[in-house]
Amino acid sequence: MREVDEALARAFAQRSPVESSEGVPPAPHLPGRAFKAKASKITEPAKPKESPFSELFAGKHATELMWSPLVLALEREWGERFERLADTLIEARDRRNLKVFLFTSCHRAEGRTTLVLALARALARRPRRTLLVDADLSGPMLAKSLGLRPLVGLDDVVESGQAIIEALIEAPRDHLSILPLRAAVARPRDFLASAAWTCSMARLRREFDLILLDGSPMFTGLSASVLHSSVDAAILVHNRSMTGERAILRAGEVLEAGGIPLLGLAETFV
Amino acid sequence: MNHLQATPALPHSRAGRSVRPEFKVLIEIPTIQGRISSESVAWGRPKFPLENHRPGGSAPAGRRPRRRLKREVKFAACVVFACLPLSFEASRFWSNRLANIAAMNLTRPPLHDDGRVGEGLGSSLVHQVSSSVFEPAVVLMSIEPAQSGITSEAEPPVIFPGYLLPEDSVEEKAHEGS
Repeated sequence: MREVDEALARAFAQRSPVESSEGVPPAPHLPGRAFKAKASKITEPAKPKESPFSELFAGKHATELMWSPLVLALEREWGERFERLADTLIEARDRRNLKVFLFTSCHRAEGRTTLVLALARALARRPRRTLLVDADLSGPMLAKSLGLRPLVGLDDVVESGQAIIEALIEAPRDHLSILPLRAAVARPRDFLASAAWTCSMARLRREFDLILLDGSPMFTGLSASVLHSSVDAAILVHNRSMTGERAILRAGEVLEAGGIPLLGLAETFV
Repeated sequence: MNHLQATPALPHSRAGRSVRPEFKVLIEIPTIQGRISSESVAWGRPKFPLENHRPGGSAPAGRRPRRRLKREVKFAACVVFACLPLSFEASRFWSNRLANIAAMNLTRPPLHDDGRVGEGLGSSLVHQVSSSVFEPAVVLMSIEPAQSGITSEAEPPVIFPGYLLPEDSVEEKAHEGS
């Protein structure tokens, strides 16, 4: 699956925006003509062009994030640890070409979303384009944690064919991009097996340097046991008081069987 | 070939494996000691255990944090189990009382508008119903054979409407002998 993503990303990269408008019609989940019409309205020719997303985000999708005091307190207390983890991820990206990191856990409420948010703040201080994706298909919490109420989410992009540009939220002050889920997904297996999900991840992989997926817990219900595809590596968030070592072993085996290398553990509530 | 050689080796055999996972720990986040403002709770679920607000004191170290939902479910279950016998007894009491009220309504003769007690078919029906419902049935026992309702096997005469059959013995004079 990773090879397919990379091939799709290369195909997107080879296709310039002008060439893509002629000939093949755009896929339903890609912005296409509407995207180019909006992008043409941007009147800042002097600004260096980083990404079509960054141009578009200067418009209505730019917003300010409301960070939880808990995340700010964690950053204040243990900021250097998050900086080290951010260095580890960037090193993995540079050396092993890992871009998409899945943050998962064995059970719920192990501190997964809070850890991702604090890590995203550390990554946002680097000269990288970082994207936060809410991939907790059974219980999305990312938008709520950031004080967002998205009208269009990743679920609309994959299931209803909406443009991915409509779901992306840019926080220019925080130097972050958010792709939230608007609601829980009814069929996670079909959702992750769909071509729209693969194409969306391929395009995001091309546009961003680092993608952090706030994933579902692995052993909570049937729907959560579906492994995410289009992921380069996984980080297992572990709360010792909730999850035993056998569950960690089992999670490692499940990830290994799914072809997702486990980068390491993130211990919370130590 | 013994049974050990015949058994294929599992791809992830745990035979000689330690339970302790040997995964690399990327980060360790200790629990924040101190009070987080109440806004953090308003974001949703508190991700990290906050300060213990129980008046009895703090929980012992290493103990699993209690969940509010679990406590509420326990409380609701206790309330339900406490109220269940009371409601059962109350339902029994009211069902008996309603039966008594219905019996009183059946046995009481109906009152007319002018206040006199009703008689006739209605009152007799009420008495019959009340007596059949609330009085034991009288069983008559006799050695005589039970008589059937039909005594003779003669067929009943067919009578057409508007047509009178003449009697056998009495005839009118004008038609006599014709």
